Formats: sequence, structure tokens, C-alpha cells
Amino acid sequence: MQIRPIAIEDAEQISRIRRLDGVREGILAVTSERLDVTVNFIKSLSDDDRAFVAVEKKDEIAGMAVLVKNKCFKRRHSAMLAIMVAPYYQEKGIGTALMKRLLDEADEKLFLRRIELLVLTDNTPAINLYKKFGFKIEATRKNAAVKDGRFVDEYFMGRINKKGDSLR
Amino acid sequence: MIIRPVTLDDARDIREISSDSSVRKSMNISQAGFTDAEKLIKNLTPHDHVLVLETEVEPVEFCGVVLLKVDHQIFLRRQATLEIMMGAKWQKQGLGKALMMAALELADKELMIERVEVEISTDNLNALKLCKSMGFKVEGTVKDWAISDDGEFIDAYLLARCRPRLK
Repeated sequence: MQIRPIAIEDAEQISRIRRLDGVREGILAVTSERLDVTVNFIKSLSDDDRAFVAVEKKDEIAGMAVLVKNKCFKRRHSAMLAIMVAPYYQEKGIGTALMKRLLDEADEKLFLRRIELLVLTDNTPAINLYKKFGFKIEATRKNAAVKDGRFVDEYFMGRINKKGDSLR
Repeated sequence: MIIRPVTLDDARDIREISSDSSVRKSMNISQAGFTDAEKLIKNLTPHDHVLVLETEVEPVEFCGVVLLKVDHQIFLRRQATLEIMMGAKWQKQGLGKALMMAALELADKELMIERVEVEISTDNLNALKLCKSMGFKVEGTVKDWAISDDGEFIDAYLLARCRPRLK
């Protein structure tokens, strides 16, 4: 497994993973989501953002992780993190490798103070992964997501890097 | 008291209130708020709802404004953020509450919004009190949420109100 920056050619594989059962619900995707959503997302990434894919042999994408800096001026010290791993590649350390790469960038290149993310409250493996990297549950968002025709709750998690205030 | 949809002519009044430093402590710190009222009104989409409250008797005076912004992402159209701003001399008379009530009734009974969210800096106790009285619940506290005008990191409460279930 290898981790490399995302490329526009990855859009098709990523779009397919985004729509899978077990992935879709947690990342605000729907089964009708067209390819251009992913294409436009990749194109929209700026120099302040980071996106990596985990690639297996034959360039098959196993997962991706993105860090999008908050656009609001008052929140310029912070970014939103999102990560997904294809169900058949889960529990093999791919999430850990992606998180490590992304957080190294955040701490050493972007000097971010705050990183935040959303996760469904029943996604224990993901929550444990985030806790391992220093994220804490800050809020429980009632009925913030939908799974199988029902409203479900989401955790809002945050990680503070005390050294990351060079943007002030 | 009259509550009506915003018009471009309201931009001047909104700007005036928004430039008053005693009112500037806004909710939803991470959004632009009402600072550039003209741009805000011109760029409103069908997902944005703005109501204003003014006095009924002459001379008509502008008291406050509320913005209900429904998330435009397909998946999140059941969620909205709310921002309200009242002129200094119109505060503490129940007017802010009436205006917020109008926005929440719109969300509940017409738009069928499931979640209305606000974020409030932890030192803005008046806003916190108002929101709590309208059924908002604190869902958590976020550390170093924003950078204040003085360059300090400030914490915030995240609040939300879910749609009441009708019998």
C-alpha cells in the first residue's frame, strides 16, 4: 500500500466508493451522486487543502483522506478532516496510515491550530481511530445524518495543536 | 410590530445595526453575518430566508433581522443555520424572541427543517439565554473555535433545535 496526493484521474474510483453501503451514510453522499461531484471536489482543492489516496497494487484506490481549510476568516486556523476506506479494505491499517500522513501535513506544513471532523455515533472503529490521533468528542449532533430511512446522531470531534498558532 | 421578508431597501438599516459595536457580538461566528448587508441580500438564494421586524406605527423604525440559511447540499437540506441581530434599543423587549419564533415556525411548519443550528461564543450569554428559551440545546463546547478581533482564540457552544414532532 502506498499513499500519494490525489489526482483528477482518481475521481471515477473515488465516486464509486463514495456510493457504497456503509460508506455513503457517513460522508454525506447519496446513491444518485454523479461523477461530477467528485471531479468538482478535486478541482476545488486549493494550496491550503490536502488530499491523499491510499493505493493498492494496479493503482486500485483503497481509501482517501482530505483536509479542507475553513474559508471563514475568523476560523482560518482550522480545517475539516474527512476520511473514507473502502469496506473491503477496512481494518488493515489504511485509515491509520492516511490519518498519519494528513496530520503530519497539518502540524508541520499548515501549522493548523484546530482540526475537526464529523462521525456517526455508531461508527466505533472510526471513533477509536480518531481518538488514537488525539481527537476528542466535543458535541453530539442529534438527527444530523440519515441512515436507512432514519435520523441518526453524529459526533463532532476536534483536535487542538497548541503549537499551531503561527497564523495569528 | 410587523414581520416581513427583507428587501434591498433594508440594507442600510441592517448595516447600521451591524456597525454598532454593542450589537456586534453575533451568533454563528463562522459566517459572514450581516456585515455586508447589501451583498447578502443581493446574493440570497431560494435556500436563504430573511425576515425583518419593524414598528407598525409611523415613523416606521427598523428593529432587527433574522437569517435562516438552509444547507444547499442535497444531503443536508434538512438542516439550517440561524442568525439574528436586534438593534440596541430594541433588545430585551421580547422582540428578538418574536422574530426568532417567526423564523423557527417557518422552519418547522413550512420548510420542514429537521435541525436548526447556531454557534455562540461562550461569553455571549444573552444569545445563549435567548436560544435556550426557544428550545435550542447545547450539543457541546468547541475549543479555540474562532479568532476574536483581538487575535485571541475563543471557545464556542454548538447548539441545535430539532423539529418538534406534531401530534
